[in-house]
Amino acid sequence: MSVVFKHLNFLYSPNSPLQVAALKDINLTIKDNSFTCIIGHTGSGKSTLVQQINALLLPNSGEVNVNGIIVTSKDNQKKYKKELKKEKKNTKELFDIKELRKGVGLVFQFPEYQLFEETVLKDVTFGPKNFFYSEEEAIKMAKEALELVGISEDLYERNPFELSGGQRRRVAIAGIITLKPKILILDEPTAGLDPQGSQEMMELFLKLHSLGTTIIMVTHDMDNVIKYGTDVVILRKGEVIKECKPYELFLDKEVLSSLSIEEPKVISFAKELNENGYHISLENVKDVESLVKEITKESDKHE
Amino acid sequence: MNALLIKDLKFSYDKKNTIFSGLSFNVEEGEYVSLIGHNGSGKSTLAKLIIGLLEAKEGVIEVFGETLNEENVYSIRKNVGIIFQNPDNQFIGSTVEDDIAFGLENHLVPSNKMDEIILEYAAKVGMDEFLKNEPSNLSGGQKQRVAIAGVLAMKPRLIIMDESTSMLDPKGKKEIRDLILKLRKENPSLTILSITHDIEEAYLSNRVIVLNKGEVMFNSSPKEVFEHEEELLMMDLDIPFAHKLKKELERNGIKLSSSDEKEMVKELCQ
Repeated sequence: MSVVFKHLNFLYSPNSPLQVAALKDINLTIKDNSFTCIIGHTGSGKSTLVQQINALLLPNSGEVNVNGIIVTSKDNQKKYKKELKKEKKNTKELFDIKELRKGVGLVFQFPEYQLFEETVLKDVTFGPKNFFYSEEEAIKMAKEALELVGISEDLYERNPFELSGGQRRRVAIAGIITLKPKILILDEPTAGLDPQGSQEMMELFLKLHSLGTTIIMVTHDMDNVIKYGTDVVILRKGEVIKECKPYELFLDKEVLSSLSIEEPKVISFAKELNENGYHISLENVKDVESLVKEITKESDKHE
Repeated sequence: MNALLIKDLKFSYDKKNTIFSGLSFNVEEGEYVSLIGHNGSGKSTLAKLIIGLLEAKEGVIEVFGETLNEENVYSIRKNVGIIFQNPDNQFIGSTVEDDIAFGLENHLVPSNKMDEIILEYAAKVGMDEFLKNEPSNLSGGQKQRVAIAGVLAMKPRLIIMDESTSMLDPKGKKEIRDLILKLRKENPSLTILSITHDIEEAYLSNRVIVLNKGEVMFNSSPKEVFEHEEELLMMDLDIPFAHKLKKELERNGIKLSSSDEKEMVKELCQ
């Protein structure tokens, strides 16, 4: 399920003195089954960009095509419909936002703030019930999702507000993945968690990715970008300025300095070694373990 | 002189979960101490005990030589400022200047003096150009800087930071780290107790205290504390990159003597 942006523009408060162009002529393809990281400064349009994908915000012009369903402005929809009517084609499916949202899960920043039910299980069944699944089916789906995020059965009847921050976030994420979305959008999913909690959270997304979910993650954490990302998109002032593999980003001095991105320590260490005679390919460096693997390969060669 | 002295402190929220069963440590005036420990080790509980939001069962908390009790809790709070984790939960005013004014109003500072004080402390944290801004127009780091200005205006001698940088982006984290260093330079007698998960931040402090299950596990300079890699990792704590790398190299048969990044590169390239 790929996501294709075509000439997409988005304005906040259009036709008012406060009008701001948040996204400018976005042309971008997010590949099926990728783990795409979206990076950029605060205010560069990252969250605005991902909210177009499940039609929480509609573009002012241009469109996003999410596996055949088109998100575009109301005016554009009319134009499409007129043309398709001439060809006597059905237009209902083309803009079916409900169907779209079944396939695209969006995890906001601090999703635990959105919990509201009395028990964990009730909260997680809310989503499927909203999509007209029966109580029984909803409970089955909720249990599957809770198991996947690692919330044990003895917590199902607990009040979500009695749980720890990390557990609450897991419950909130379970609620979003009950419908098994093909695309999961994450807006800074590890913000505010301790190092251990943050790593567990990332392992969860890695698992969902390996089960075939396309992951789109907005993040500031460059360590996570190189460790988990397959692709990276860099935004600046509402424009896509680069799309590449994570390691390629750290070879582009211009982009690095213009965005003042902090290089992951494993990458700067590998670069330092390379300047002193090593030949480590940065593509293979993802974390401390893989860096050491590369170092031992090199030192074997020397002997 | 001790800015803070904790002696045989005992505390539990309920009968089952004991948080502290005899905690003791001190922080000297002018020191910058980082307190680290995994979630549930009692770090934030400790902060709340020190400012008297929670009451200890047994033991002594001394703030600048004065033993905390029900009667003097308000006078002790005059010496202690606290910055919490979430920038959005501690922005009370509708603008930056209102927010800094909040504490001053509570302390009955005359309004003709207030503008001057607000400007002085906003300038200290680099927010003097944003006095009329609303919180929705500020970044997380900027909001935390305003919170710090509000606390500084109370002229506390001890500042407690309870994971004040954990919700900020890398730029915001750096802003706050740099600000701490600047404030300490301007006022060497200012004492800072920082509860943090940020290892790089802990490395900047004079001393690191590691809490585990309500007890002090390590209490020493950052350099010495982070030598205990195994134990720290066992407690689910993070260790600095260089230490992590050294350990992993050792596991793969490459033994280095240094745990400094530049020195390690040198050793590896010999």
